[in-house]
Amino acid sequence: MASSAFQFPTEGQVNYNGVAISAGSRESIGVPLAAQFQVPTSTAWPLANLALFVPFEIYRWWTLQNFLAVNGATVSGNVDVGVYDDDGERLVSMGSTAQSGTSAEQLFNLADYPLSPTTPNCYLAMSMDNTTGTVQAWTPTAPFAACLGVLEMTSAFPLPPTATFALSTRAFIPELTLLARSFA
Amino acid sequence: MLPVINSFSFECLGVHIGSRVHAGGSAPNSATWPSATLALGVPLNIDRSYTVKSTFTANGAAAAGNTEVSIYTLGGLQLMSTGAVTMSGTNVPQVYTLPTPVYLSPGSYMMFMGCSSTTAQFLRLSTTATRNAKMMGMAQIASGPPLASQVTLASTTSTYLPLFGISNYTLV
Repeated sequence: MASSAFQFPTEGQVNYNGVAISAGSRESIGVPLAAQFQVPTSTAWPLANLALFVPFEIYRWWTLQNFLAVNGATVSGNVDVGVYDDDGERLVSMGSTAQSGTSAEQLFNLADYPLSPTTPNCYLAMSMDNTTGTVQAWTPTAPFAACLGVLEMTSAFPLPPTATFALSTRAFIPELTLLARSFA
Repeated sequence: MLPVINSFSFECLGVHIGSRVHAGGSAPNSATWPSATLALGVPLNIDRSYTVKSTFTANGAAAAGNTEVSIYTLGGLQLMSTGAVTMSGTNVPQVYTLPTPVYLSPGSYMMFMGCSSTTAQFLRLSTTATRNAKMMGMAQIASGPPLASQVTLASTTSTYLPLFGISNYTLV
């Protein structure tokens, strides 16, 4: 998968990255997700050691400070979160971390990482080592997720340095958010 | 823009769907194509150059006949087409890699999907009323696949809004 070339913004474009870049936001797949009229619900991770990748776009320099996932009604085992570029190279990740806290967000305090508009197309990534743990996720009918550009990799826990992307076959899109600021 | 643009994206009808269809809307589901040799089109507005390397349809519970994804100017001139492609696979995206990538400059286009069979099923959204589809700028071509290189775009008479699109990757 070749990298997309950087293109200078043209006058009149509404290209910005907000404080929070989420799977549900404009920079990601929020618009088509809204068109499927469902909200995230507590759902078991679909396959042990499966990594899922949700596309988002960077318009200007944006420093990542934290990563949020939302746990569902049951937590179990370990998770890993991170960001990849569109060549499948891992830019930053948390490493294996115990899933903690039911029905609440879990904050992953990553080392500050500057995302660059020279690599505009990136992926929010999450992997879990079991199928007992649940997260808040959209569950649209397949192949909806794949048609939004959601990708996956099996046997990918913890998140590997290089991902081998495949189209997601899951009816599952995890609710993930990057934050540019830490909120107390 | 994200690498994958589909009919529900910001660049197409995503915002329209949220504002017009939501009140009476339901989640996309698999449904039979509304009419044989009909192509349905959505506006495609891009603010930067974009290279189309592949197309896809969201195949539903039954595969039959041929499909085609094509992009036209607003005047009905065909800029890109997959040609008629045998529909294959159920409940999966069917990806077609273009032999030669097609460059689109910033601007407004119409992105069409056609199917030859009313047995075929695709993941689609119902606009609940034809007027909603018309108000969002949907159009149709009454003949195809195969779709002609120059057509007259007509206002849609369907409530069928298929999930389909283009990608500047070869992997959707």
